[in-house]
Amino acid sequence: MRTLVSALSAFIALGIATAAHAQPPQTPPGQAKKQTAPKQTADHGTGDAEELTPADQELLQRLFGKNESAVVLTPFANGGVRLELDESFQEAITVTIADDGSLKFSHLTGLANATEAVKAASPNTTATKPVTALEEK
Amino acid sequence: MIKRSLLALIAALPLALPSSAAASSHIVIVNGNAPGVGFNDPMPAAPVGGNPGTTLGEQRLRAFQHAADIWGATLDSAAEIRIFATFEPLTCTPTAATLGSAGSTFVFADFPGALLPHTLYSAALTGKLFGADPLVPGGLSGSHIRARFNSNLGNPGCLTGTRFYLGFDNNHGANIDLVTVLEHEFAHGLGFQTFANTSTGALLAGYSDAYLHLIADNTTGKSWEAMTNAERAASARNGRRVVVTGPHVTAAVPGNLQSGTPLLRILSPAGLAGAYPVGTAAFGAPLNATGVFGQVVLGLDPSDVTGPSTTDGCSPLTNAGAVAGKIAMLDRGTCGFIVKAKNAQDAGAVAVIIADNAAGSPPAGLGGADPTITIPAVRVTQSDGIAIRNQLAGGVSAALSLDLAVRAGADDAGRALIYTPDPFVQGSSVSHWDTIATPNLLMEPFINDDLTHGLDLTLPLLRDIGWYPDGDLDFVSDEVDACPGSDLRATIFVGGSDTGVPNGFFVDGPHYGCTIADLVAAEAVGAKNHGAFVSGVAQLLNDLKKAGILTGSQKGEVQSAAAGASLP
Repeated sequence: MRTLVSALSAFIALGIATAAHAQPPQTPPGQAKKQTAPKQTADHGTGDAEELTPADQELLQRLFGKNESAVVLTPFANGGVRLELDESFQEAITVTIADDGSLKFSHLTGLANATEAVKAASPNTTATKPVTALEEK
Repeated sequence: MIKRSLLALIAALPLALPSSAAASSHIVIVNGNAPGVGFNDPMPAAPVGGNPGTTLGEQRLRAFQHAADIWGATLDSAAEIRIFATFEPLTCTPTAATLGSAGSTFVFADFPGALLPHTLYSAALTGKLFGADPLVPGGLSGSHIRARFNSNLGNPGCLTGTRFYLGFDNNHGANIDLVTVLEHEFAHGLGFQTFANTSTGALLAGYSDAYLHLIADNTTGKSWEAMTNAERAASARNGRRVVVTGPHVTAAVPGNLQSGTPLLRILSPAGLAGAYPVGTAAFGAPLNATGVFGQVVLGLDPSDVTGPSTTDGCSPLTNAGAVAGKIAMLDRGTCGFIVKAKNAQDAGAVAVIIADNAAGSPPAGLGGADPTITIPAVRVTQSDGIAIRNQLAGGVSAALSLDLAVRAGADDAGRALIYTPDPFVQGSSVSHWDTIATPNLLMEPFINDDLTHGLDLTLPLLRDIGWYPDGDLDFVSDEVDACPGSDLRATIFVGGSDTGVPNGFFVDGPHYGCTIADLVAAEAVGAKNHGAFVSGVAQLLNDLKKAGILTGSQKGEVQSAAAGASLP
């Protein structure tokens, strides 16, 4: 087993590693996929505002986003650093069943935010509007 | 001519594995569940969709490993990647649930092998670039990625009846395809995410990261690395104008995104010229490739009970003479979009642009239904609307079309768009592709039904952050490696015989990525017979000796081995 410290000290740095990213463009991979289902369309007009104003939403997101203060930074003798990330840096995914039966997925930063979003979701809030609804005014 | 300075001894290279075969990475699922639950749930289950597991727990674990193997088969690394995973009860209601979460446990910067200084790399990518595992195996602290998923999904009271589909064939029906969700979440853990605070724009501990390094704003032309925190925060809300600049992604755009993006293209004045995103309408003529051209004219109507503004188009336009044959511009507000569009059409407009009356981007679509409307209608953002209106006095020439030169999900220059809506969406903004991408992409913020377990633009992005292909694990990208399947043994073997002569590795020039053993072996490939092979090796060894790479005795050892080998 090797720790970073011991591995770094054993590492013999050569120029080749840094040269490795001088790569030519890659041939486009695979075939383009067929689109078989309608896309979820995010509609961010003012009519979409639900319980919170955009300013309130942003404030909440700022308060409950990544918790930088919990990051543990460990420096190494050779100048390298390791940062330990807590759960607030995890990418969480939630799902809500809309009125039309479709599944509406959302991403949030951190399980705690996902938990709050799920608790807040109810048939009268996030799931009330078909995901492809457009504003008419 | 072979130059001495271009050679390094294999023994000095940080190679973790002797290899000459196509590599990949070994991604291990570390089962973090206690006996009897999660991955160890003993509930009997019938094999489904290629998943041969016979218990619920085994099927979950196999689905995890299947998703891990999809990534493992495409990403080359000498270092094992460990995902500490659990299935456990997560928050849910009958109609909403947390599916799960995943992400990197550690990030590293300024380690030997890092491609960029002062730049954070996920723990998994650090292992590849460093050439060895940066973590000590064992438990969560020894894992590169953490993943947890909801064990109650589908049970009564937890998204009742909608379960994870555990098959490998994507035949999920109304259920949620676990392999797709895992592919997506694992990609975040492999490095498809920025670690910066995209709400405030602040870098994590002052470090850039490999993902952020690729992001640029095509309004300002600035890369995210060159921005201040405030500029990054603003860019994170600049809908459909933030792109990935990585060469692999850009090269892969034509093969992954279809042609055609609805756009407003301002042709003049020069200061305003360019492509502007639009929201399309559910009524009127759809935009087509031919498009509609014309001068943009502000539509005027009375300030009356139907609408207080003189530019809201809620009443019949009073400047029909100016609008006829032109593209009318109106403001959003008070009345429905179809009322505005109909009034513009009645005034003779060939199309109508409705400027939003609230901040936000990209522009949303226009709803409503009126079969008598036959002209196209679009919405532009409030800020774009103001910019256009400010130039109307001097004349603004524009075209509205489905621009086939612009891919759906890319900008004018063919660079893939990332998701940067205004208002900002924590957890979705920046670390995903834009939702306009068509066909749908794995790393959009939504898990769309039509995803196919393919890696689309996501793999090229991982290539761009540092997951370069390297089948022989010699730290030279296969895209530039003259010998992508190098014999990296420390001494030169000829025909299975160890000469004991130190092997060497070319770090530049036409043999970049090759070893001496590779060059000797290559002589056998084209040789008509053994004599020709021996002669070719002799010439090669002479060159190496002249370059000071081999001594006379070393040359003799290799020459002797070649003479005694059964090659070709």
